[in-house]
Amino acid sequence: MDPSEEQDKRDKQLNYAMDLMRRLPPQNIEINVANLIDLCQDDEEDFDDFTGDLLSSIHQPLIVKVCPETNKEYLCSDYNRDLDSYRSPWSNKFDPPLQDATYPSDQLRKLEIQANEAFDVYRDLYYGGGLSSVYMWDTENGFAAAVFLKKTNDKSSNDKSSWDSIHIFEVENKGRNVLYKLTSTITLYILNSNKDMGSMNLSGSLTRYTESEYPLAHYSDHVSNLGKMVEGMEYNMRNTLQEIYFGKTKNIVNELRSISSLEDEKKKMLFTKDLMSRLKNKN
Amino acid sequence: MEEKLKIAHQFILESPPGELNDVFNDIIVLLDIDDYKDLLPQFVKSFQEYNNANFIPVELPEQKTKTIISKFGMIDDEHYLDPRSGNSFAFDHFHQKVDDVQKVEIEENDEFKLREAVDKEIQKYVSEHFPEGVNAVYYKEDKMTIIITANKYNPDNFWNGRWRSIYHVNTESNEVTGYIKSNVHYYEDGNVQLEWKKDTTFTISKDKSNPNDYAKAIARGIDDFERNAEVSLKETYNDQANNVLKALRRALPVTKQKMDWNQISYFKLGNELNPKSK
Repeated sequence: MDPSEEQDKRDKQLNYAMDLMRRLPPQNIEINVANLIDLCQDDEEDFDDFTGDLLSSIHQPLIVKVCPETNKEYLCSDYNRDLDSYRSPWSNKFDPPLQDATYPSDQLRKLEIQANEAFDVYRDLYYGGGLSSVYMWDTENGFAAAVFLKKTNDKSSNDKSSWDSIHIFEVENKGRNVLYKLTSTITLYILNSNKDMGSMNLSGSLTRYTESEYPLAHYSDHVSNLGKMVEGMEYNMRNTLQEIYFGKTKNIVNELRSISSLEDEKKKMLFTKDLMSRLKNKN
Repeated sequence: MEEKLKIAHQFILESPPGELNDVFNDIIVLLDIDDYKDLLPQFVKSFQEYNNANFIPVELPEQKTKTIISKFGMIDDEHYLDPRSGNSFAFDHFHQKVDDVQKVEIEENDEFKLREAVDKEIQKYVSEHFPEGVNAVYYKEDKMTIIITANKYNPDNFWNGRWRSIYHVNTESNEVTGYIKSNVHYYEDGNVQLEWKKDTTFTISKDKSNPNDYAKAIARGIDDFERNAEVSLKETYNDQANNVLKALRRALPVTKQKMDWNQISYFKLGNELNPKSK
């Protein structure tokens, strides 16, 4: 197979892999991603580009690690990983230590430090707990950033919930303006059980995209631009999550089995219809 | 390949309601095989396990009501019983097709009458609450199994849902054990799934010597259990809607003001990067 055909095949497979992950239960995402990689891999030895593409396209729950240098916790995903090591946003060091690792340029690292401080304030305002970590890396025409926020609420073994925000920015310089492309995924896990209801696991994730162009007076304006976009995006997505998790899925259960009898529902509908047509005639 | 087929089997079993074919198509592309004819027997086994576990409803020719695919209706590896019409049929799990429908000889004894009475009452209950409901009642040697299933597939609006409930009635001890399982999948720009399960055990306080009373008591017991369970689920939902998100991330900070990012970047942090703005 020539290289372009090989690439087309891989692109096609990546699309189908994403479709599959959109269908399989989010409850089992970690084991399913591992199995998906085994399903697609031809040779167990090579960790090829395709596996890399899969891992960066599928957002798994953020991992919490402790920075050995500062003793502070930080959030990990594929975006701050190099081989088997993760970079701490607090010390800028990889754990376990890594030779020949890639770091952000000096200027970008300064911005990364600022962004971490700013999002720590944001985290406290909105989450009143939890963790945040921001990572940046240089790109050809600007830079990219990953903003992570996580909060877990384990009240008891029968009442657990967790929120993971993964915001990925591509930042491109366009003359005097800067274009920010943001893809956000929020993962929400809710586990509950009680004697009357039984057990429920309501889990999954939503992904949204937006872009904005802003002028840039100072380099550090990047932090407020990233911040405002994350704030707006989380506000909108929180509303959508509320609607889908607690409205939509609840209503679908009631469409499967109606709590009131279908006969009563029918009567109610006819009554409403009748009322509406009477009101209409009156006017 | 063997390891890959094990994974494929697992993925097929995890397919959300109404999405078995989509999952299968994805798997075939990912396995990168041009012709899966040789592997068909293995896939058929996976499909059979899925259909049996998910109580897939099927339509028999010339029957007004549907019946259910489940291991309780299995006659042999390929044939199932439609207990209501008294027909056996072959089921092609891969293409979901019914074939070879044949009348089964059944003696119209007490067992027959009790099964029929229970089926009638359950059917009545199902038609009152499930717009797409299907039920089947199997009865053999004091062991009665009642299955209710309902599916709503709405792929155009990116959601599918399934309700399954099953009850085992011991007609000697009059004890009933069973459960409800419901799955909902919402997947417009995301993947959100509900898995809900509720178990029950209760006893029938009637005697089977009067089949109609007995049947009514079973149907009432199931009706009560399913109504209470669903009302409790709704209450849990409402409770969570008010509390869960609020405890994870507030809609607005306590001050009711959005964050002042400019202040942060200029005054708290801006100095080092913008020495001129000092």
